[in-house]
Amino acid sequence: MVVSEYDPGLEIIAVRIENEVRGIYEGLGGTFASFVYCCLDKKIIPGFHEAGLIAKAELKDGGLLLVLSGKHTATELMEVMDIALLNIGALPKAGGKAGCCIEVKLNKKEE
Amino acid sequence: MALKTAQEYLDMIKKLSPHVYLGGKWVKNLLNNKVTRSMVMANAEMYALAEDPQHKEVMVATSHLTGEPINRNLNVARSIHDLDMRQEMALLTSQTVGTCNYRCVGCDALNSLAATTWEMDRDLGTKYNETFNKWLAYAQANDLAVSGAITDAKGDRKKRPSQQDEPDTYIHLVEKRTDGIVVRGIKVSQSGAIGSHETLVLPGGALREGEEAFALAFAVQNSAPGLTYICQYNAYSAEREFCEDEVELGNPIYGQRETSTMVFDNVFIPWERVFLCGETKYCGRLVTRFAKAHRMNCGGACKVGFADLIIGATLLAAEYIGVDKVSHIQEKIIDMVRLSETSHACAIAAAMRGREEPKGSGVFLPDDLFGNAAKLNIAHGFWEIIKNAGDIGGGLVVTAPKLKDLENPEVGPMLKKAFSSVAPADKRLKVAKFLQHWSAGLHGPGTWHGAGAPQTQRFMISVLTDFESKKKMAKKIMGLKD
Repeated sequence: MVVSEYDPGLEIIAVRIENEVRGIYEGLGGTFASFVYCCLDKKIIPGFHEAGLIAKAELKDGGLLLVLSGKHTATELMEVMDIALLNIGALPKAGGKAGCCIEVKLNKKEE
Repeated sequence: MALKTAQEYLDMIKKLSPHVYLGGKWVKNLLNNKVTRSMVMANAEMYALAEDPQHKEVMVATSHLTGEPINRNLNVARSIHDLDMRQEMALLTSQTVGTCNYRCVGCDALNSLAATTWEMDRDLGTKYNETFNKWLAYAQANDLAVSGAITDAKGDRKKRPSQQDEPDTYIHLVEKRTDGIVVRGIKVSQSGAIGSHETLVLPGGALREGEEAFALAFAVQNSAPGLTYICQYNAYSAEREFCEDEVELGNPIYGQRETSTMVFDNVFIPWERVFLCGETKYCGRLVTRFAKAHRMNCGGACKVGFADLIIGATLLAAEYIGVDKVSHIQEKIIDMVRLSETSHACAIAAAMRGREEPKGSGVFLPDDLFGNAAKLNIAHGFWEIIKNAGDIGGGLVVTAPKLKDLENPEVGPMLKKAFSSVAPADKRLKVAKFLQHWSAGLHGPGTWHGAGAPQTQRFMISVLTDFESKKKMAKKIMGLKD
């Protein structure tokens, strides 16, 4: 049996910051669901463990909308997301059509 | 797809943040803490060995899923040769790091899962094997370090999991959702999950009808929120944590074996990582198949690699004081070799007598009787081996001063006078520290309990041995009628 003969069960996740896709990640199926559970139910971003980093998290248009507390540049937000996705088992990928999207926004109230 | 290098593994570990506590402190970077770093460095060596062309036959296998080269720690044995190379890998890795290789339980767990999920799909029409193969192909493609967690906290041993006052003493199901399950509970004595990418979690034993909530097997990402690791802490942890220079320690880079208590506080596991959920009938088989593989590897090869190191250092200790040609010393060394090689012979026999299980699955598991004999023999033999090491190494094994004291202008000359013999004092003290690591360290009880305490092997041997046929053979020769 060779895995390429059937669906390998991977999923591609896009990270969008300020309306721009800044990163594409690939993980085993269920990775996005794990990420969503962490953010919505545990209020924790994978790899950070401390509560308070998430100002708001909600499912929107089949994706996840994430608002992080504190002042961050888009580059800093992307660094956070890179660590978070790696810690949930998704690795950076050069390209590909994303089936799921995480939209990260700055917390306007704190700007 | 490619095998990762040790450096690539270390680069990735720097970015991973499992929730780890050691000595009451949160360890935010595994490489910045001397104790957790020793575990990570041992794991890195598993990647380095796979890179070394000299060890390719032992450390690298071919994926039955993709045909690509993979680290043997992620291989499902499909032949007698695979089983033989598997036990040789356990031997080689122990000889190389002198501590746990931290991949052994994960490797044996995935072999048991390959066999048992196949059986469940055949019997029940489930899709667990397909799910497992997808996870395995993903782990192989990314050359992930996968550890295993088996032993539950267990609470009151007189009570079944569902009867415990504290349900968290066993990993159990909290919620079944459309996208996955939520689990909680505690696994103990887990080796190396902190420095791995994923951990395979299996039930700790056979389960009965009515205990479906505890019948779970899954893979978890090691930084999953809700999962906390509380590391072991002992004299060796403190010695390493507070030492000025690790060169003082018996095993400077790789350390003693590092374990943790894994606490699952409502951890989400997507269905894509769930390999058994509620099928109590298959838990016993899953654990038995794991033990079958693990007793061959842990008992008959891993500990034999440790014994090789102990024997080597004991010979050096004898040479350094000029007693290596003394007959009773040589006799004790021969006894150490006899004890360890007997276990290794059992491991080789377990591999050679291995067979496909279940028939049609394509998965090969070692012979159960020889594997149990390997483990039971080394459980007792290891104490004898470290006793002889302490005997020949002498009192210095536990009375040696600090190595750095040799450079101290005040006491250094006195110590050199006291401990110089056939070899200079620094060599003698270095060997003494190494033997202390074994004979006064954690590996005695570790070897006793690892892969199950000896009583479990005795039970298995009593079940697997055909005592009636032995009586019959004896009666026949004696001419004794029934």
